Amino acid sequence: MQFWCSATNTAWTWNWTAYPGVWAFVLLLGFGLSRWNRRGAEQAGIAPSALHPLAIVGLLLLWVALDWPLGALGAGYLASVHMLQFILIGLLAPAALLAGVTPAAAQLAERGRAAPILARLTRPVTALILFNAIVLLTHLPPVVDGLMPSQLGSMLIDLLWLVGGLLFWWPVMLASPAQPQFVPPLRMLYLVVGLMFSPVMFGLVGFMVYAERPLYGIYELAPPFAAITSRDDHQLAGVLMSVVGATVAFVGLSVIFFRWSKTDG
Amino acid sequence: MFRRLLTLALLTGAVACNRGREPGRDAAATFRGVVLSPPLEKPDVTFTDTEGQPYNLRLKTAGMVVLLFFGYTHCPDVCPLHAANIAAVLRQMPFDERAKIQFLFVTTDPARDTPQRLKEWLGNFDPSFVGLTAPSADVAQLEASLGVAPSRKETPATGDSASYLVGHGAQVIAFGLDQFAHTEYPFGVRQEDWAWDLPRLARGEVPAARPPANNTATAGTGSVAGTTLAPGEPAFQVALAVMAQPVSASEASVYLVVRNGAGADTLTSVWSPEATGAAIHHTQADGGSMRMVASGAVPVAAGATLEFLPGGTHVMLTGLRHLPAAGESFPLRLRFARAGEYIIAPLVVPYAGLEAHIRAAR
Repeated sequence: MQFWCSATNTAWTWNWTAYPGVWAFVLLLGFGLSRWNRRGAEQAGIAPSALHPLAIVGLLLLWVALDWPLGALGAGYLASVHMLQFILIGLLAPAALLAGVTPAAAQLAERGRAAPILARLTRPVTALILFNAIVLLTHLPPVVDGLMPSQLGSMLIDLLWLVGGLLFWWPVMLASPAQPQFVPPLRMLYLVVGLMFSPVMFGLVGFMVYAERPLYGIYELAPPFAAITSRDDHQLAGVLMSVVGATVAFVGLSVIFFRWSKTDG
Repeated sequence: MFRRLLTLALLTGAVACNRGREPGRDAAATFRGVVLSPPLEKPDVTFTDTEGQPYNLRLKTAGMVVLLFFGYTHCPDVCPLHAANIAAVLRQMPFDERAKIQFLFVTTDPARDTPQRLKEWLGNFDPSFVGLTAPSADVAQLEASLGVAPSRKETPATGDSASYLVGHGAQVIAFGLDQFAHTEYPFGVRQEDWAWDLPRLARGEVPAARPPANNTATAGTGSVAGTTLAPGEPAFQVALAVMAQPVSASEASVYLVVRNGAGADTLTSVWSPEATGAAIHHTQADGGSMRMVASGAVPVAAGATLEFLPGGTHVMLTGLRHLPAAGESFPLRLRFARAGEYIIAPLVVPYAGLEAHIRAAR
């Protein structure tokens, strides 16, 4: 039995496969988030609230991205599904999960023992650099080809995406008193630089869309899935990263802008 | 610190994304396919094409490069991948070079591969691909003459007798313009490898001749005389590449004798698409017992011979895709720091026969 999706080099079938490691991870994350919120409420002396619906959406997005069939297809068959996983795990789920963190819980994070490290890592410039470094590292062909055949390697890539996404969204989603200068216009600029015009994402998209030959051996040599060629699959992956990255940034920009204009108004 | 990390990451990215794109990458290796020594002569056989016409391999393909492959259209992995990758590379080649290359697909499943199905299936990849059929005995004879593992019908796991698989050789044999096959391409060869070798084959280039090794499946390198190499000549000659036939698919050891005909180099990593893990190990005494320890990179002095032998350093493969039988071969990539990547095809030999192979190679 596999605990996490990985490239198995066997022909694809639509037979359902269980990945207990994925279920355990999503459940633990949900439990941890709920407990964090509850402790935050206790410390603030307010009544604990139920898990925010957006946090539940975040957990569901993670589960869908990591479990069968998306997890299995992305791990060993299609680069485009691998990219879809990145979008879900590294871009959408972290934003939704952080939206589910209550202000009281966020304050708790600023007081704990790890607070100084967390504060340093979630400084906007630092978070932006770390996120881009993780995106670049986890999309390098030797890294993808080397890690995806093993369950631990595949899990490492997924976890890096999630950590990178949480770091990236933290300064935007959890306003910190320590960062008063990170005003809405700067947040919008942050999203533009981080997602819409990220040089790392631009570079990766360019290689995936315009390269003469497939970037990743694992997907080039994977047992064929449907009638999609390896090149089309890579190009689709590039388009997904480009279009969805820009769309996520645009939605984020819009939310920040309308909230800002409402506050000013 | 973060600035340094980012710079490093970007530099790594630039290098990795350009991997294999520059022709100079493997300047030392003239071909990326596995060199056959001695070369195989194009067989004088007549099969039937998808139009029902006789197709004599030698006559019909004189003056062309022939990529000969044994497979079947219901194959879930190797066959469509080879066909798709070759077709993708051919599409990017200039017409005059492309016109000199003929992909021939000999079916190992004549019961299901009707001429019509063969034609349609191959046409999905490239209309110029030719499908051939022949009585099973003739196919088996041709496979044997070319050193290809015999194809065999496998019992279906389900009760559906029509959904069986057919085991078959996974290599594409490339016959050059001189009617001889100097190279073959095991499963695991990528489009960038085809794109490197096919234009050379179409121009009539052949790998430099080298003395025959004891092993029919050795590395893609040319001959090495002394320690002085002419520019472009390969650095390494593989005198031995064998796998002791494993008893289970969980792990297997590969033994090598590799002669370095050039300057000092380092074997940095090994990799095989047929295994989930590949590493260089050495055997180490630990108290009264022996245990295997992962080695790092292995330096090879100029003109020295790298010997991976039983009881010492060897390549350890873990999680084999299938339990290999004696006589099979499979792709293994050796990456050297200076000489670049070599694709070799170790031969699976019974443990009892290992010593004889090693003696012959040394």
